[in-house]
Amino acid sequence: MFINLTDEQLVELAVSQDPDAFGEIVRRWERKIFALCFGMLGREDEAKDAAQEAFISAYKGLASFRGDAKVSSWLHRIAVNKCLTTKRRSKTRNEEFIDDDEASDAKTLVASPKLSPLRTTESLERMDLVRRAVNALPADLRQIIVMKEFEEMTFQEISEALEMPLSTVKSKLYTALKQLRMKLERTSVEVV
Amino acid sequence: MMNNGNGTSACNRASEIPEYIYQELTDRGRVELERHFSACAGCAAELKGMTNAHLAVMQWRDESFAGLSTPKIVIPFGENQSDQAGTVNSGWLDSIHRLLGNSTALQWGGGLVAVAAVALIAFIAVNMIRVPVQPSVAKESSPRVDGAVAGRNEIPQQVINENVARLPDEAGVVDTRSPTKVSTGLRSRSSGGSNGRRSPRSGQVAVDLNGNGRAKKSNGSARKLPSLNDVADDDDNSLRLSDLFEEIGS
Repeated sequence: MFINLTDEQLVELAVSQDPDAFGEIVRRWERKIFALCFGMLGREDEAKDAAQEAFISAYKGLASFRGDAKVSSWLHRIAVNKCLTTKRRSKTRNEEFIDDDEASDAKTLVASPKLSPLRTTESLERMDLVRRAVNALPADLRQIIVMKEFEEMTFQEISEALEMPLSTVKSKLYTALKQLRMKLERTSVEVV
Repeated sequence: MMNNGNGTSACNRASEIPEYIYQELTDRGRVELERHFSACAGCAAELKGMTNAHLAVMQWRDESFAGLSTPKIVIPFGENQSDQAGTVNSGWLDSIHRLLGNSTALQWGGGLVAVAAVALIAFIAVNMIRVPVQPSVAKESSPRVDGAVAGRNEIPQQVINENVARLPDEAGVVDTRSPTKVSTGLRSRSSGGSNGRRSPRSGQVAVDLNGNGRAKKSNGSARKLPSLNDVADDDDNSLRLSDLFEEIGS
């Protein structure tokens, strides 16, 4: 029923007469928004909560959606704000995102069953270092690298979603990769 | 060729490396850049480091995220759409906004009409309301009473004695023992805790506050005393005081 409609048409429909049209928006974007939240927060449980809250906020704020903006841009903005709020809340509770380890490792990192126990442990440690390095990036750089790596968006799509010039997106991604590279080299993380 | 020593390149073309890594260059651009990498050690080193970072993040994604199932998003479809994210105003103001749409001219026009309406209401209110003129105790009405003293309802003892002697049957309560105080019937109405009754004392005449015509006599012969009910309730204090001053002055 809604398959042929664009995101913007769906939102218009959801605002005017059919709230179920928003269900189609959710189906289209839930994986990407969850990926964004996971990349931003680094924890599965918090990413799930943030994604859920982001969609509820979007639904409740349907009337505020500007027709001239893209739905992807609107959803990303809401989701990123939710992630930043979650992170702030966690910091307030003195739960260090970057330096916490034990409790989150088991939930966050899912080791490949093909690996031996030794390799599994090494892999978990390495992935944890990468997670920390990504989380240590400034929020704007982290957002772009997560959109690129986790959502697999093109530069053009990121530019539209963030309503940012294409050149700025490229420049920010370059800076993000450069900082990430330096952080990982400091911890001697190499891809195996 | 252009390596600044820490493995990062100062070459202008280094900014194209992310596009190369994520395969977003055109075929021609990719070939040109590969040719440049073979000639520029700085860019080659940067390419290696950035590719390593990219692959590390990809590996993290594949090992920690790819296996996760997408959470079931539950939307409360039955609930009213309102502001939860702090981005929406869905009250009466929002309804007006929706009604007006995004037309700036309409919004400005509405604002001007509102301002004009407020000004009109204020103008009407100013012209309609009649402020009652409060008679005040003027110095001229009782030249023998000092203004400051009159303001505190106080009169010199000598004046009181003279006027009391001249007005033996006048109504009102005059406490001749108190050197400077004059009590009017209204005063007892506002005095807290007295409940409209005062204990008669020696040399003092009590006013019948109950209005039944019976007055208590504490000392001396009984007189016919006026009831407070004879006094209109809407008389204010200052008016009564000035009347008293006039009588005293005469």
